[in-house]
Amino acid sequence: MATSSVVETDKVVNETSDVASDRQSVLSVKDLKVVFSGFKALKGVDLEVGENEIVTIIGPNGAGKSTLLDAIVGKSPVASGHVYYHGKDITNQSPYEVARMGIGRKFQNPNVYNELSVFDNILLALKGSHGVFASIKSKLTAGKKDKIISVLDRVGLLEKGYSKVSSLSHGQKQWVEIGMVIAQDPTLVLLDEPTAGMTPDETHLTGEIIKTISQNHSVVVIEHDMEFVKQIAQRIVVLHQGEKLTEGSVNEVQSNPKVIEVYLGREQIDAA
Amino acid sequence: MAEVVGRIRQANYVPKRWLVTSLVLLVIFAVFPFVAGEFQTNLMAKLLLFGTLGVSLDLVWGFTGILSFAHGVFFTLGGYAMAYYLKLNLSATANNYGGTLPDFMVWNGLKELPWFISPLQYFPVAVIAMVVLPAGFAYLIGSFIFRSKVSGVYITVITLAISSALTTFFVSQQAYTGGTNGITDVSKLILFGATVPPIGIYFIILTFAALVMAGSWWLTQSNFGLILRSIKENEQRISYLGYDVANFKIFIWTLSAGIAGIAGGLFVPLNKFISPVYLGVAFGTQIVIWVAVGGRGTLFGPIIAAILLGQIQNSVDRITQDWQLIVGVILVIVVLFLPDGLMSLLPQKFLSKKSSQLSRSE
Amino acid sequence: MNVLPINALSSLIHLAQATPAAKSFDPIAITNQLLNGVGIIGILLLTGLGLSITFGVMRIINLAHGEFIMLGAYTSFVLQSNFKMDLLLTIPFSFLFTAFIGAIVERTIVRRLYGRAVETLLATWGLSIVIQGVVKLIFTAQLKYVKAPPYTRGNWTPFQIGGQAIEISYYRLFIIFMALLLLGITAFLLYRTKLGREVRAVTQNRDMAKCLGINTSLVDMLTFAYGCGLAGVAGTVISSLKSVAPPMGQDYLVDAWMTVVTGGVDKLVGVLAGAVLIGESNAAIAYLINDPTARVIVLAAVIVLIRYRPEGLFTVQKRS
Repeated sequence: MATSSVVETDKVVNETSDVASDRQSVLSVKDLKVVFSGFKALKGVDLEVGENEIVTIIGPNGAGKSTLLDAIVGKSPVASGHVYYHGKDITNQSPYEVARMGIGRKFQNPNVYNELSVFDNILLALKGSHGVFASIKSKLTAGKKDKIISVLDRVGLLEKGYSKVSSLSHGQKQWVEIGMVIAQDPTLVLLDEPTAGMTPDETHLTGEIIKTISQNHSVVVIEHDMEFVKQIAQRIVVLHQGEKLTEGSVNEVQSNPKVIEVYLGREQIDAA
Repeated sequence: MAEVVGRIRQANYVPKRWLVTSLVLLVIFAVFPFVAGEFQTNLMAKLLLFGTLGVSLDLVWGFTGILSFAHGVFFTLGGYAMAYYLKLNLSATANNYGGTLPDFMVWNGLKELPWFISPLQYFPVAVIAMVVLPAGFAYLIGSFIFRSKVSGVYITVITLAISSALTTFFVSQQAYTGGTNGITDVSKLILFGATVPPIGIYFIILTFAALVMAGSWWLTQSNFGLILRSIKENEQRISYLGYDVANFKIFIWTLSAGIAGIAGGLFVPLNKFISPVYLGVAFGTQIVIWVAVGGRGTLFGPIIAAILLGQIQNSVDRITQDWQLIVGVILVIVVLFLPDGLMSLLPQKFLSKKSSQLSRSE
Repeated sequence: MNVLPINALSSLIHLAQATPAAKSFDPIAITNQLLNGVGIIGILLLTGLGLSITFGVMRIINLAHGEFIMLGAYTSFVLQSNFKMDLLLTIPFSFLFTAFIGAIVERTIVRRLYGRAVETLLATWGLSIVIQGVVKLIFTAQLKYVKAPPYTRGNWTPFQIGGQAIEISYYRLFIIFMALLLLGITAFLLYRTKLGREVRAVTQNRDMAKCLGINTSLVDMLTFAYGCGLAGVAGTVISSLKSVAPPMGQDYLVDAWMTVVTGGVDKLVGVLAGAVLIGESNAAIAYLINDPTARVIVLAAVIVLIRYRPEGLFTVQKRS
């Protein structure tokens, strides 16, 4: 499948977009391959994420976007290639070990505890010792309460603190999960379609929250909504059929003929 | 908004309503043997013990979502530890076979006490064994099965296999276990030089039940309990928050088996024998039924169900031998029409403890 | 609770008195023991086949499966004692009767609990107690006996070596023949007929099947009834091996589950593989050591297998 032109594009991109190189590397994915019973979901993807940087991943359905995040957090087994986090090899580590190192993940469909209150969801995610005995001894201190209040405030769910998550709207559940990621206070935040099911206003607000997060966290976002991508994007990575098609700024990507062909083409024609 | 902030700041764990209810129940149970006859006292002690066994299963099933048919196994292992002690105790003082060997060993041609059974003639060893044996066995199994991708119904099938395999094993090792009959004709429990009367056993069991209830309540209300409930709802998600789910499962599984083992140990002085019947799938299912009928994820549920079903059996037994049929009908009806068990019949405000940490503090 | 379940596998081995007790590596004895294993394979296959429909295809955890086996055995008992019917002729009646009860159970209980595995498990366990209780009310707990057809008595001796016979009882051959026949019929129905296609469509994508105009509710009922009917036939075929009694189904339940889980539930061939594996390893270890040890070892092996391959031996791994 990999035509020579795609490879060429890759090379060009590597020369032009060395934005990450002057920052300290937080995440470095090298030639990552993931295979599901014969189906090659990722065919050797590279990805660099620098400190306090927002990287947006776009690509049509089945491009391997979610699989890439799954492989980073240890959910999907990596067939070959490596994932480095702060220079340390974390390939195929257990999800909980990856989380403890400071990588937070928000899933495509809000993956939250519907039977628990919003408060309990945030409390579970709160940074701290996650061992068995620590959790038995753990007390709900004033400091923790304040932290939870500030997280709830930040995602606009303070009034819903008592509600069971199952009673919330889809967009609000997305925010609960974003709140959980904030409460984890990870170094690297991975967000899979954080605005799916949100109104334009909610989407915009989410964009602002993500920008605030990126002031002291590195962020990787998967998105479809191009307006939203323009709002937050610093650097965009385009995936297509398990391979990296190109990467660069919004303008670079939008003017790339390959991208127009496989992804933006339809939208631009529609817009015209 | 400020109101919510205020409520969160004041959130705490004081559960007055449950505290009062529990104390009232405790007083009722403490007075019970003085009002009821010896038969009812013994029956109630047995049902309290079964209920507590149900609570131990509820910790892993109702709260954590691991359905086990093997809790009868942990119960029985604790039971055998105590039964060996009582049997050896009897054999040492008064037996007709000359030596200190229990009758079933003599019948099966054993000449001396096997080394692995002999330490059980000492009370402290037996008491420790009745906890450590089942808990250690559970720890081994738990470490093996919970550190894998196995979950749900396959865990349940594994517990069926464990129960079935151990039954076969205990029946086949006649010389050491007493075979199908198990260990019978055990001595009375003697503590501090005095034989413990039935009422004494009742109060030991009541104390045990109260301690288990208090401990389980404290555990399930803590942050640990919150994590157990998250594991029940979605065990994958919580691992992405940095929790090692297997550790939590192994801990509660082992703890629960230890409680079941003590229950088994206390059962022997009351029941006067232990046998592989209690290892079997049928008894394992009986425990599951107490929890299901009482209400999964509630602490009083299994106790109420065990007492209720036991008393029904006791009264029906005089009329017909077919009380099991009635249990079956009750189980089907509860599952279809009362999925949260008998406890869900209580007024809603009473059940606030089931929901979130915040509402708990109201 | 007072009846200790007698193990189905080991009791069957006990029936085979032809096996020499000597633990030597006598090739004749070993062959005979492996042929004994064939009988066990037949029983496991028969009892597991129904489960591989209800659990494997429909994902319903039916703990009353053993009771459907028991109902099949009682159907044969009633027909034989009242009408002196040949056991073979009672098979269609067992099938229809247990399938009918299965259909009623699906309509009244299982249907309300689709997608709730634990509730289904509890309700079917309750049902198993009820069925046992009702049968006990009607027939009492007394053991009943069913006669095997006269033409299945005796042993078949294909050849003799140095005065020692290699032999297998006709009844064992009958059991394995019936098991393979039912497996073949089931495979044909499932993979070669329109109904089978609809069954697979419903279990793979219920909503899509509905859109295609398949009566999913009817398909559910028929599939469950068929699984129960298979259990009934199993009950008839094995009824003359031992006595018939209300708790007999319990003896087969755990083994049937182990068989289905070992082979893997996605393909029908899994149940055959599971039966062969468990049956032969059980027979082999029983020969080398003894029956109870064989059972303990086989169950332990099944636990280890589930631990490492919960999807069973013969299932393709899928994307989670």
